[in-house]
Amino acid sequence: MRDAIKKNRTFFLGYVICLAIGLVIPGVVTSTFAMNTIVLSLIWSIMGIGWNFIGGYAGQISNGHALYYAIGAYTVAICADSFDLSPWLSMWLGMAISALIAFLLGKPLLRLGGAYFLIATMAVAECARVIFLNMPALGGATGVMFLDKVHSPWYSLQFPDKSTFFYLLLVIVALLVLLAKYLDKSKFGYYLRAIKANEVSAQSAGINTPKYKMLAYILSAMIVSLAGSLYAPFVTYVDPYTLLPLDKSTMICLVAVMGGIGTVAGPILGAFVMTFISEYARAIFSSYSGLNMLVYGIIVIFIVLYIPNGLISVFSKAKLGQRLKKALARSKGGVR
Amino acid sequence: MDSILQIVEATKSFGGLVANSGITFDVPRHSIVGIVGPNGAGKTTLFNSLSGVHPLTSGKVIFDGTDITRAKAYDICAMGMGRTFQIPQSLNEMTVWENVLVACLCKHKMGQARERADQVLEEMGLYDFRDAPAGTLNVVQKKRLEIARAVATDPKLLLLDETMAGLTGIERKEASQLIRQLNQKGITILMIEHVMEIVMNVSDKVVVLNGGKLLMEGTPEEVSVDEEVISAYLGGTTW
Amino acid sequence: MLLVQTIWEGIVNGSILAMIAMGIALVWGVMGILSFSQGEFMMLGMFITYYLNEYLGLDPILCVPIVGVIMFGLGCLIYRSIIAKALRGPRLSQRLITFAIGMVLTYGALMVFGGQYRTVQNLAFTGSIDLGFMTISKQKLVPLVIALVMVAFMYVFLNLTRAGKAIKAISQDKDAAELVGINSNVTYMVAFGLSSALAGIAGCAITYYYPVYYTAGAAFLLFGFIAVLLGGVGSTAGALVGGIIMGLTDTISGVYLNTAYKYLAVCVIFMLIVTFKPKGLFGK
Repeated sequence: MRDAIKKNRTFFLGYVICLAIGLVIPGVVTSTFAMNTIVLSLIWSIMGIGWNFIGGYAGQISNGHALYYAIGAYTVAICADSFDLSPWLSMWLGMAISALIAFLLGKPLLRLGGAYFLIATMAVAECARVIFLNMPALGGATGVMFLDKVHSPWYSLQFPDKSTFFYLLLVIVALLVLLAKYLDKSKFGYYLRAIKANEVSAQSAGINTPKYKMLAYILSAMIVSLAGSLYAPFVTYVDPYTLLPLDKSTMICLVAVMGGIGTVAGPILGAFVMTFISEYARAIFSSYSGLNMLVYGIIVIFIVLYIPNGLISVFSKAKLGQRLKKALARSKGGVR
Repeated sequence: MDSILQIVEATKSFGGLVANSGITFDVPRHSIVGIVGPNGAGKTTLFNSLSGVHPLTSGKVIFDGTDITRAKAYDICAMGMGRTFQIPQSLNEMTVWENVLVACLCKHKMGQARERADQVLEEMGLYDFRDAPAGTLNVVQKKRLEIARAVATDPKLLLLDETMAGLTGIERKEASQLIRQLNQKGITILMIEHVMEIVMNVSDKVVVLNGGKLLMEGTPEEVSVDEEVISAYLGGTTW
Repeated sequence: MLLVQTIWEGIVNGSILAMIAMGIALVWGVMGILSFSQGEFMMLGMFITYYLNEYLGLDPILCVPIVGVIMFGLGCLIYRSIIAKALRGPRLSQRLITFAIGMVLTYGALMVFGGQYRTVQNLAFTGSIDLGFMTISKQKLVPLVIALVMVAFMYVFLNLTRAGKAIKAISQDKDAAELVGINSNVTYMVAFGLSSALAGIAGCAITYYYPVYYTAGAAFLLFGFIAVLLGGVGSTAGALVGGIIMGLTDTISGVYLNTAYKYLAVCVIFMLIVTFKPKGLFGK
């Protein structure tokens, strides 16, 4: 453990600083709107971290992860509404259902590569939206309301003050970051990167590529499902329009890409920046409907054009440059 | 003699195109076997069939007593057959060390794999490039990395696909020395090579393919005086 | 006789999809970008037609060349200012850029044109032709004819003109095409411009029977993508057939199954075709 910390000093330093900032946020931030935005950013962070495994590490660009977000949210909502079940339990059920569906869908989908996978996942999410819209058992177009006034907030996860929920999310994100950091330098992480880099080559190095792609897909589905399970009690209702709009899946992908795919911190950075832009644009331009999304779109274009490797690369660019220079100098030296 | 690899009536066709037909030969354990033949003779196709990239249409491949005709590439690798690609398939966005590490993970746990990766890089003379992205290597270095990655899977049998093409005379000598060293460590080697002088020098046995068929097999001496072989090569390549 | 009627409607919807699919296939084939903004180009075509019709009384048929020219110009502009730069970046970023362009266009349209549904009022052809076993609505016949003319135009353009041949050459082998002196940058721009013009004209044609609103194009994007995969990337004939298959699946399953399950039907057809014909029906 001490060894691991020593090796990743920068990471753990940043980790502790972020946690420390997190601890004081509810004391410093007084505006409900800002607190809301921070909570949403944390939920988007979870989605980004989840998507990053299949899209960022394994390089299989899913454009349908809103499906798992919806499964997580709906499971919590229906369990609370019909069975009085606490999200503490139903979030696990949601993850289990997501894992199962990911497994069943993953079999045919993951055999498709590149754009085919992207379009197929997109089609599946569209199917899901239509099914959610038309299933009376799932509340149809009106969805499910489950405002809980009976149980204690720690049971229903519906806290009257945002700060308790914020701390809860902070702990969950912190744990997920540790998981991501661990997997980043594990056999799993290296295998996924190898699959992304070159699938044929990865197989010849003994990597069971279908198995690892499936594992990454299931893991990412479960984490995104968890995000949905936490979002549902925060807003106390679920419906197909807010959970599964056409562009939701692309937004999940966007958060990770804006931050920097295939990195631990990237999705979180991306989630915060993109959520703040979208929420504050909405508030500032509230009198012109559409202007907020227009601004959002323009900012995305600029980030993608000028920081193609994600916002995180701004911090590590200097390091990368050094590495490249060294390598070039060596190969010029004529060592064979 | 004990064979590590037996190829029986290997046939591979892509749609109507027959790339290999009825190829049968053995690879004796601990030997170095060279495969030669003009361009389009079906050498690389045969490698792809052996290593599970494109399984045979008909026929059999028996590796170390197990039928691997329909086995997947990753399972074949785990059983102890490593291979290189004619066009290096390095994982360009990853560092040289990570490239080798990934291969080491086939047989080792993470901790051991890290050490083993450094060891392999040292042996292959790639340690100086440890942290460079594989995409920045030149062709010669990439070919070396290709061998390093195959060796890192701790193979019993190593398939080398034209690892010498494009090398200068001195580099070739180094490379053939490397092959001998690997062989002395107990690794059986099956190599495709265009550079005749090396095949003849290094191999215990030579297999000649032409037009997807086995033309002949024998010792380098036998092959080099065979008239059919000579005529197959006339107007052909480096002889 | 419901079936015949349904098939007819399916073919009409399919022909519109075919135009969008051809545009997607063009950009994909030439520069390898999966363009997410195609639906929004279509939506813009719809609005341009609406305003030409509303203020100048031009029938959508007469709007086709105007929309084509405007959208071609806009496509070239977007290529020059954004796409050309994005081509240097990672592939995923290129896709997201087209997604963001779509977003800007959608919400720009919402701000400029407002969020209400509109219909084009002044149509030259209305009413229907009764064939006894089925009725052909003229409002659907016109879009079909426009689509078929566009498909024919694209076929002639790609196979007989210099610029079209350059586009074909680049999508087959970029390096070789550059070696024989084809300027890939100009060709890319023309391809992108053409694809947005195609989508715009699809939008123009569909105003004959479809309402105009700012998110109208988004629904066509996914079906357009799937049509391209069905037909095989980079094949004009494939895009036509793929579009018609999608239109038929959509309409037939909408009539005979619950509308809710037409997406499922589409998914199933898609999975079947990519499983058994991974390169599409016309792919090489």
